[in-house]
Amino acid sequence: MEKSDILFAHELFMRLSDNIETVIKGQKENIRYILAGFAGGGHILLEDNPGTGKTTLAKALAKSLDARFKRIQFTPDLLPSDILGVSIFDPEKKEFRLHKGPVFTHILLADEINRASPRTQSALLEAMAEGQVSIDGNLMNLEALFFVIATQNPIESRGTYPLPESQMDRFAMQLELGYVTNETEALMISEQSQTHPIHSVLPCVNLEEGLKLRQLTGEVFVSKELKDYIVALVTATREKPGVLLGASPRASIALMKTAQALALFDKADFVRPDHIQEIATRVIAHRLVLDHGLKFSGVSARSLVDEILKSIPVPV
Amino acid sequence: MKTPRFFLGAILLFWGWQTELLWVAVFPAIILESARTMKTRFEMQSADFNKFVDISTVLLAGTIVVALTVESQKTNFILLKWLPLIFFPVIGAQEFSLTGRIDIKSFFFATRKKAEIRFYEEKAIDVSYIYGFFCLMSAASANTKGFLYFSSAVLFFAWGLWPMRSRRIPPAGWGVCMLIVILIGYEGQAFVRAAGRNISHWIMSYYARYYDSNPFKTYTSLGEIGNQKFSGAIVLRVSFDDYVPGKIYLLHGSTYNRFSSSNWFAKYRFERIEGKKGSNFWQVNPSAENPRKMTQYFRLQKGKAVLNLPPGVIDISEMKTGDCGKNAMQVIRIEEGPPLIKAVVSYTGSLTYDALPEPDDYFIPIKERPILEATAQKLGFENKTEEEILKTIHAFFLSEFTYSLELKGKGKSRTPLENFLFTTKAGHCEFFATATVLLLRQAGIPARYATGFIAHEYSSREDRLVVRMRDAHAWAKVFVNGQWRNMDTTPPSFLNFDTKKIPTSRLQDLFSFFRFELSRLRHETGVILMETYGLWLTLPLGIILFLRLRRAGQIKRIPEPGRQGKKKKDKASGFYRIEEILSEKGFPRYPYETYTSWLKRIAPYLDDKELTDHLFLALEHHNQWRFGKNLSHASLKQPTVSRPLELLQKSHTI
Repeated sequence: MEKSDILFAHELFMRLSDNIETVIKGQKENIRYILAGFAGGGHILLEDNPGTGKTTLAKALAKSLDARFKRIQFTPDLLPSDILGVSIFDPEKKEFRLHKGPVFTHILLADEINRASPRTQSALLEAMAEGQVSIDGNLMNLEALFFVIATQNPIESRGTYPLPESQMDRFAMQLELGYVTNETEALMISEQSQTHPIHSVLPCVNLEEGLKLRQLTGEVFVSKELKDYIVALVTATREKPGVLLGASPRASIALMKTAQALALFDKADFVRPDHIQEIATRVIAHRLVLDHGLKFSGVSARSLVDEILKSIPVPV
Repeated sequence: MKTPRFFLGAILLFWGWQTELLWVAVFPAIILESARTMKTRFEMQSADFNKFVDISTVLLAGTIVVALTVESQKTNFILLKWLPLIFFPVIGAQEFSLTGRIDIKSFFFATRKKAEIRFYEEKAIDVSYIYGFFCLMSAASANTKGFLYFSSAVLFFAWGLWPMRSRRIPPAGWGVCMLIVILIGYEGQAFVRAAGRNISHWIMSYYARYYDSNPFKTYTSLGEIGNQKFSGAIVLRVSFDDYVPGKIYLLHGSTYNRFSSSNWFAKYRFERIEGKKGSNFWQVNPSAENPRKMTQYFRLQKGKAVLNLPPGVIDISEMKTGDCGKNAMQVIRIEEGPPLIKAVVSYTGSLTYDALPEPDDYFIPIKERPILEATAQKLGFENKTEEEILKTIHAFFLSEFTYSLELKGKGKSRTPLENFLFTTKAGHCEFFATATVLLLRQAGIPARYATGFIAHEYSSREDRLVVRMRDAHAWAKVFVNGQWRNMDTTPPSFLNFDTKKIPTSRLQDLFSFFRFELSRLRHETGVILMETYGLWLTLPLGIILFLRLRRAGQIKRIPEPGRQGKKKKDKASGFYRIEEILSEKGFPRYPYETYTSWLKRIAPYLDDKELTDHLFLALEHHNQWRFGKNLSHASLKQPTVSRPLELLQKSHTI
């Protein structure tokens, strides 16, 4: 990996990060993670209360990239064909013609994904995993750069269908935005008194650059020991008592890739253990299925992963 | 925050030194300090910590029980003294655990389950400072006089607080503050001590009236033994080599010869009995032929006692006391000794060594003369040999008198004795003995009044005779045919009478027996029970627990952090040296912490911008060397590490 490549990737990150930050205030860290997820080739799930800026953040990223962007607002009556597309009979040509759905795009914002029925959800999740869809028996490839940002309200909200736990595994990481500080919020409302800053966001990275970033991320060096460390973290979730379903090998891969992206973000061509620790909870926690007993005793998946992080010696 | 290196070890040794348990302290001290050097760690869940806390709780409870049984008045001291060992499992578990901290919930049964809901997040604490404080407190239990303890405590406090001091203030300022605190502390403790002394004086004077049983007093009043008759507590345990079942043994305590207004007096000087140093052997009288042997155990009250012995004591062996004295009437008393005294006595069986009669032994108070003369006339002592007189007196008391524990005053009579002889014709041993002595004197035979105990109750549980408080007895010593002999005129029925009147509690006996056996174990062997057996008693516990944890697969030995392999290949990165130094200075890294997060955590404590900057720079190189790709390590190692190392050595803040 050349020095220039590192600088190029770092510069891309900075450009994207700065651009998004003009819209979303006080979320520097989460922007860093979203970009890492994007560069690592994973999909991202944003979960938080309504109005915390999930959609805006997703849109800001989409707009910053000079790429095709589609948005699906998930509703209970949404059908799989509304996402994938549908073949309609053309009476003139006497044949079925495929109308491609919104899934054929570069960046897809799946807003409030947990409002749709599980059947519709799985149609999208399948596409995310395979990178291809089959409509009417025809296999069709999706775009090379296919990135899904899904948002969802916390499960407790009314009128939602919780995502099947196993399907959560398809997302590389789950982020919670949380509320910003009072000062930031004051700044935010004053900025939005006239127009929403999202309207003035211009693309700053084009499609080729985006693809290059992904390619460079894959070239970041991960030492054998750190790979072992990643595997140790992930496998520990399977051995933990009270965990019904531990994290899959897909989690190990996602953890490595996002850590690689974070390294690039920090202008390094190798992963440090800090990068792994920094992102581990966000990459692993949402994949775990906990025993009810454990849940009721107040243990959350996040606290469980934090505990695991503290129980495994890190290579230094 | 971790204690500085060697702090816990030193404080434990200090505790051992102060409480004279140095050899006991060495072992835990080594274990705790080795935790800092060894890299072996165990993965402890909170359930595992719970177990260690349980062990300590059990030890604590056990110590309380033992302390209460062995020496109830010193329970607090014993407890305090063993505190460091009791809580050693907890600190040991913490030091060898991966997290290096213990969830606070482990310490309370109530919070172990319920509290998880409310406070799940980080409530872990590092108990090492608390443990250190316990040790210091415990060392105080030795209660050594002088400046040593205070100054040592001050040193330990300074040592422990030094790493936590504010870095904004120069060390000199810190030292001045510390000095002020020390001075205030010194004045304060002097004040508290003075106040404590006043309060204890006040309390002692309040309670003094309950503590006036002086074993050395030179008189006894009628009724004193009668009072003891109402207690069934075991006071003596004796075994005779030539024990004959059913035989009643008289154990002589004190002898008195002057009677005046219901009180018996003795005015004899005690002389020291020479004992061979260290052998616990006391030659009381010149040796005689065919000595008999008996062994006895009793408790020493307030460090003093008058021995209750069979007649004609030749010598006493195996008795550990500071001082032993006797008077001409063969009253033997001891001073200073362990709470339980053992004495192996060889004796002749007759009153061989009592001093020859003297004027006091013929003396009858004027007040009592009329009644005695009347009685003597009634019995007709004239023209009778001494032996016949003795028989007459025996028969007189046996036929006309009854035994009673009801203490009647003098009634309408002039003296209690008159009341006893003419009105009630009933009383207990003291009256019989007093009347006998005075009647004998009236007949011209020298006599003395003796008090002590009778041994008659065989306990199959203990395989020896037990003597209870109610077995206290009084009788006469009479001088006939050139020799002193015992004469007991109390009707023999009194034994049954006492046994019926004062029932003993089996439970109390059993408890007394265990207490006695424990004390015996402690004092007979000459070393304190816990010192000898404590380690061996706790060791199997530890082993059992370890096996249990192992089998359950819950305790996991953590493989040492992955740097070892690389370390061997390229020697070491200089940064490992930096870690070692900082760790020694009290900034150890948790095994789960990366160097970056560790440095970020301790940077505020280092409070040295230049040093911190260099450390981060060195770390960057270290990471490159460690996790980067294809770099020659040699070129990276030295130049970046030497500078921070240099700064570390120089830094005055650490």
